[in-house]
This record gives sequence, C-alpha cells and structure tokens, in this order.
Amino acid sequence: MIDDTLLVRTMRVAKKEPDSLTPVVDDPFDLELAVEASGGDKGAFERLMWRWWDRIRGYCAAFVAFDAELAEEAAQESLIRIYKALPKWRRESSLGAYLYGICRTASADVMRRAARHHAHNVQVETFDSFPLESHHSTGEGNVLNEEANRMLAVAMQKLDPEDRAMLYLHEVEDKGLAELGEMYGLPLGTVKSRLFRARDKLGTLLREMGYELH
Amino acid sequence: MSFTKKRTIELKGALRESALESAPSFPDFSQVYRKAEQRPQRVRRLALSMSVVAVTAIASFLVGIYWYDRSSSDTALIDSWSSISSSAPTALSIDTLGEQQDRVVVASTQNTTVNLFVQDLWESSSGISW
Repeated sequence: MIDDTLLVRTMRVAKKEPDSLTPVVDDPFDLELAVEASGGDKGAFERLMWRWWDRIRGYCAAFVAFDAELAEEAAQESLIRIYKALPKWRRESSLGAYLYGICRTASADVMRRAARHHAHNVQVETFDSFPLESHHSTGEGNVLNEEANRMLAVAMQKLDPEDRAMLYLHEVEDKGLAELGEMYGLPLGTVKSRLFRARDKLGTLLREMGYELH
Repeated sequence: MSFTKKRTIELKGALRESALESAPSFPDFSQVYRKAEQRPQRVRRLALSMSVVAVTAIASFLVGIYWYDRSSSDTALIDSWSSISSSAPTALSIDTLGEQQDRVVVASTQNTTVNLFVQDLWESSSGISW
C-alpha cells in the first residue's frame, strides 16, 4: 500500500527540481555593499548585514534546532566571522553561498562548544515536560500554534544539524538543489536524497507526536 | 498561521516562525567590531608566550650542555688523581682561579685528607709542570 503523504512529498521535491537548476545570481546591490565592506567600510558592512539579517539568524537558529541561547551565540559568531572574512572573498562562489558557508561553520563550532559543556541535550522522550502555557499566549489558537512549533523544534533536534539547516534553506529560503550543492560541495543527487530523508524523518517523528506534516 | 485544527504543521511557515522566534532580533555590531579586534591581540599574546617558552627551553638546553661538558672535564681530572697511591678525599671540588688557568684550587670538608692528597699528588707528579 502506498503512503499518500509519502507520494505528496516525492512529488513536491520532484516539482522543485527544474527551478532549482537555474544558476545562482547575486543581488547587484548586495555585491556592491560586499565590495565596499571588504574594503573596510563599516557602514556598508552594516547595511549588508541588515539586508541579510533574517536569513542569517534564521539559518543559525535552524542549525542549532531553535535553541534561543545557541541561536544568539551562533548568529553573533557568524557576524564576527563574516566581518573578518569579507576582505578575503574572491568571488569563487556566490555571495549567498559564501555567507551561508560562514554561518554554517560558526553554528557548528558553537554547537560543538555547547556539547563539550553538556549544556543542551533535550531528548524527544521529554517533550511532555514542555509547558504548554506561555505568557505570550492570547488565545487557544496561539497556545496550539506554540505547541506545534515546540513539537517541530523537538523533532528537528533529532535530525542531523547539516540536514535540518539544508531543509530550512530549501523550504524557507527556497534554495534550489544546485545552490545547495554548491554550498555543501555535494552532487545534486546527494542533496536531493538528503532533503528527502530529512523531510521523511521529520514527518515520521511528528506523526509519532500526533501531527501531520504538510 | 502554520497550525490548523486538524493538527497539521505547514513546514515552511512553522520553520520560519520557529527560527525567527528563537533567533536574536537585532545584530550587535559594537560587539562584532570589539571581538574582531580582540582576536588578533589574543593570537599575538599566545604567540608571544609560546616564543618565551621556546627561548627558555633553548637557553636551558644550552646551559645544560655547557654544565655537562664542564662536569665531565672535572670528573676526568679527579679520575686521573685517584690513581695515585693515597685515597682521594671524600668531598672534592676543583676550580680555576679566575683567569689564571695554571692554578687549581682543591677543597674538601676534611682538611687533613686534602693535605695528604695534595702532598702525594705533588710527589708523584713532580716531573710534570702545572
């Protein structure tokens, strides 16, 4: 018997493939700012980072499985490294791939440091202990929405950090297979299968928690 | 909204929402500049302390080699003296008198033994000029 949800997921990935093979083009204004920032212009650096801030912080947060403390540390560490690395950028890769690459190594280092200190080790089995009430909640819908997001965060923690970050870029930032392949140094087939496996595992974990992924 | 009453999660919306909720809202550029400038200083400090350690190790090695050579020559001298008929003093140190390489100071905790030793040495090597 064919699982309907599996079929839907397969079709979604397959549908995205042609678009994802288009070449990666950087925003000309971003490029201009990057060139000025690499020459030591702090104003240009700040403008560039403001334009990229949601993408950087979102990626870092996804990499560290939405842990607020680690996400802040990873985002800040990424900014420091970007500031220091921009003068060394030789345009061998797209600006986006370069920036995400820096965020990736910064987030991985932050996670490694945290693991050494045994600071964060939440297991799926402990998700019942999460409080459902929140001071931000204003109604039943919000409470349920927050609970769903918490379950998603718990399920994301069970994925490999690289896989969940890749899934985030594909789903949220609409990064195609070619761009992800360039970013991770992987062939298209590998990127595709890793995305499929990550989404499949996430769906399975969420189903165990009583949620359906769409 | 990423959540509906059917307990379904719309992945794109939920991922974006979770990421932006957990991530910091504003970048702290002052901290970025401060830390970026601190890092080379930290590297320089580390390099400096490593250089000090290396210089100390090399100096200790050279002093050790010099001391070893010096002790060896003293031991050889004492060994040649111990072949003389009278027994060598129990504690003996030998040194030259400043720049005068032709004079040797012999010291021991037992004066009598030293006197006998020097006397024997003088008699047995009277043909040798010191």
